Amino acid sequence: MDFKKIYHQYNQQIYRLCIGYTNDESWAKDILQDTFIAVWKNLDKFRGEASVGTWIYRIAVNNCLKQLKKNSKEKTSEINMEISAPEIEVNLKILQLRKFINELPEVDRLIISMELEEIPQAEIAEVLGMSNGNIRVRIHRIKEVLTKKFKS
Amino acid sequence: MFDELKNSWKNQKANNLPGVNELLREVKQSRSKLSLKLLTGVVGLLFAIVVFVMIMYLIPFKYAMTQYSILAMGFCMFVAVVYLLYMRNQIPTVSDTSKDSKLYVQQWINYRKNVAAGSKRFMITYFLIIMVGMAIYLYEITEDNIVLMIVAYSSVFLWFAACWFILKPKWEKSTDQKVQAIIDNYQSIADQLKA
Repeated sequence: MDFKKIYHQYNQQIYRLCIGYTNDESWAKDILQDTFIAVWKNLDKFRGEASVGTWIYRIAVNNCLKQLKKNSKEKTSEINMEISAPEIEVNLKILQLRKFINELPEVDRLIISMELEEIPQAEIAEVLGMSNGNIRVRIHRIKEVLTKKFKS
Repeated sequence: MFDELKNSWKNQKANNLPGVNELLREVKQSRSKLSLKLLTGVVGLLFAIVVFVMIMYLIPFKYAMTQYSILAMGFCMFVAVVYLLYMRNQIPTVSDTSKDSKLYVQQWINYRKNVAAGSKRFMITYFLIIMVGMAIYLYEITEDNIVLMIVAYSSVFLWFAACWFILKPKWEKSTDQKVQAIIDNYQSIADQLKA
């Protein structure tokens, strides 16, 4: 497998997952970097039991979960919205969505980020080690919470 | 509503992500940092062994007990370095990010708990052996001068008392708080994965 090809194929998706988890661009880039360094180091151990995408998402998700809460105190969503605007072309709705996602519990942030990326629910379940049914229910609940937030 | 959000979400593009070459440079740097740390540990260990061998051979001790106490202190330091290197080497195994998240988080919780319990047990044993070794060694070097002996034992006793009753509880409290905060963080994630 060609690392360069993998990186170009997945870097934006993984970045969006990290942004969904952290709502902080520089932190998301750090996690993205750690993720692909781990991918590069473990590429020869990848046995193809899951798809490459699932494997990379699993590494990214675990890298996100490894981050400690204390870091999240160093940033606020409002400041982050100001910083992020010139860096990426995102509309106000997306900034709002990022903020609302950031208010969810850690695992829900990852689930909804993967759902928004249109990762199949079975794959999300495999990445997190949860059942398909559980993921389906969680996604439904998260969407309800987010819809309420958008309406209020 | 969510279909629209999905499209907008996927349209987010980061312009300044690190390039592949930059990433590979990071890999090389992280590897060299790791080996430098390992090397420093090993050099420290060898230095401690050389110092203790020199003490054993160059200083003519009167009592065999003194030699045993120095040996015990040296052995203690040796075990300390080996223990630290061992714990450090466990990290890559624990932090294998290709496992499923439930297993990954649980492994971190277990690792943190083991490190905390091991460090506490180890610190107490280490401290006691060093104290006994020091007491025996001091007896030999001050046995001819009772005033010096009283001064030396009093100073050492005061120093150890300060360590045991003031520094050790403080260290344990701050370490416990930090470790507990980390464990609580991982536990909350583990609970979310179970729910």
